[in-house]
Amino acid sequence: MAEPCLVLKTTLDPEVSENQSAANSEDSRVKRRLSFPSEKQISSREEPSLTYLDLSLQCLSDDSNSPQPTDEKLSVTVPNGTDVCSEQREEDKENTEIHQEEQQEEEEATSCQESASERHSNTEDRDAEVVRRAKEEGCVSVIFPGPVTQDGSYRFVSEILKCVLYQRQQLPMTYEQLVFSQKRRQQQRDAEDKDVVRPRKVHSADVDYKCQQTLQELEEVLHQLEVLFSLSRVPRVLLMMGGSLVLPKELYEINMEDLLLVGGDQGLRASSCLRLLFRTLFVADLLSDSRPVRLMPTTVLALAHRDCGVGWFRPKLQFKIPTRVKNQIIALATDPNVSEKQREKADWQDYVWFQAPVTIKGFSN
Amino acid sequence: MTSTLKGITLKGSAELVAEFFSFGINSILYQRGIYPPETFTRVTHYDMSLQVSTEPRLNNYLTNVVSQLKEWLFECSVQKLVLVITCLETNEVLERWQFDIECDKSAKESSSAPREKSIKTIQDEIRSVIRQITGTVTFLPLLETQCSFDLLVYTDKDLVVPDKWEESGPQIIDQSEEVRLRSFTTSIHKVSSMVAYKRTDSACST
Repeated sequence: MAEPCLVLKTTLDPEVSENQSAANSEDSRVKRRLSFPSEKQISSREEPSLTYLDLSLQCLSDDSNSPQPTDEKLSVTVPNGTDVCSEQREEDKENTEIHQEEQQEEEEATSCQESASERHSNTEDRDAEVVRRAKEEGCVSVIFPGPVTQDGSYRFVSEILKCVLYQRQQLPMTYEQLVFSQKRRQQQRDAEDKDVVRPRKVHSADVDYKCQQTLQELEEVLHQLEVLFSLSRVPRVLLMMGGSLVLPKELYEINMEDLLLVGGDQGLRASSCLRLLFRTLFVADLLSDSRPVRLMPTTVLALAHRDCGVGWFRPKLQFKIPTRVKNQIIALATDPNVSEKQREKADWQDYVWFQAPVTIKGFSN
Repeated sequence: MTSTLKGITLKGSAELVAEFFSFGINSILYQRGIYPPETFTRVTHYDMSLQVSTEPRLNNYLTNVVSQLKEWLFECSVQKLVLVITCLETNEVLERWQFDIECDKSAKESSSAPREKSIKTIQDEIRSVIRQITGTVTFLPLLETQCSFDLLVYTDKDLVVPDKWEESGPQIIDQSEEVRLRSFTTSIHKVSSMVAYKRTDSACST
């Protein structure tokens, strides 16, 4: 049970400097900070989020300061003593109607709260199951309520790869932040007086170089993966980190064998699926680690049709998934209740493993 | 920092936690785009890259809040810190970052010995929380409208409200979803984090 508490906030305003705040204290309480969303976040209208999990209502009843509805009747006083029986009967009728409405609202609110509580409870149960499976079985399942496109499945893989690299401490920032940071540094360098020669710190130059190299490697792999996805269905992708192909330090598999693919505009929006995917991964807490993880090369392998004609990836006909290291599986699938007509029995006999010829080395500051 | 190689004191713990809040709040403001990314600069702390604001007024505001928070942490009188993100136009609460704080009050006793936990271990735990804060960007709804933020502090009921502070409502989200982040502990203060966000429609669009 929550302890009784005070909820406080400062009367200072981040928009107002301290010496102004005393003079403008009233205004500062009302003022709000204008924010300027970054370009990357000013995008086309947000696509509806795909929430396959039950909805939840945050219940902090001990914090609520909303007044509880009462059932006090309205009353009217008549100072001059005139006969107001009929008026009183009208008022009583109104009072009764109002009371009934209030009761109905209260019942609806209670029912709403109860169903919201149920949804909250269901979400908690689902989240708990996700955590359990991730811990005990090393598997995270994400079920989409409909088919996706081939491009969508590529995006899942590319975003998971970027996420794994950051969360496993192979990148000091997320990929998008690194790209932004590099661009900004380049612009700053370009803006500097070209006639002035300034010695750059060795460490800074070294980190810059490693950053550029890592970004190039990663972008090459991402681009070639996109090409591969345009040539063939890719039911499985492996991310092998450190060690060797036979015995990596860490192994992650993105399994999409049970993902139903459709063409054109028929599939679910990738962005909505990505939100569901990453929320599930987040809850599973598969990737984060309080212990430092040292830098190690990451190799990407993908299962694709042997005759897909891909040039960049190298076929590894004898490759077998290592068994002496724990394989953390991220299984993406379509809800099995989706129309059976759309499902074809998948046959992976003619699929072989292809290995990216470039490893992503990673770097730190 | 009042901490020894052998352990953490109450004062040292308050400093560590206050420092986390300073970096954590900056990270949230950066990741959620409350302030433009060009107003942040990269620094290294906890052996990781962090973004901190260069806006003097914002920094002044945060310094004041965190400074007061540190006092309350030392007194073990703070229960939660909440960062609320609201839509500027409608004042609707869109996101709520809640940091629950538990304090082992036995550390206040004068006879209490420093706790045996290394700063490095604490910082490792903090680092994983901050990485998780960054990771939430992958699934939190886009904040498309201009937003503002507020910092709320839940304290013990009998606390004397200092100057430049006032009582506030909890600013709860109407119909929210929430996820828990990792927690960290200094062995005196334990901080558990979660984020609640406005639930969006569950219908899939094709």
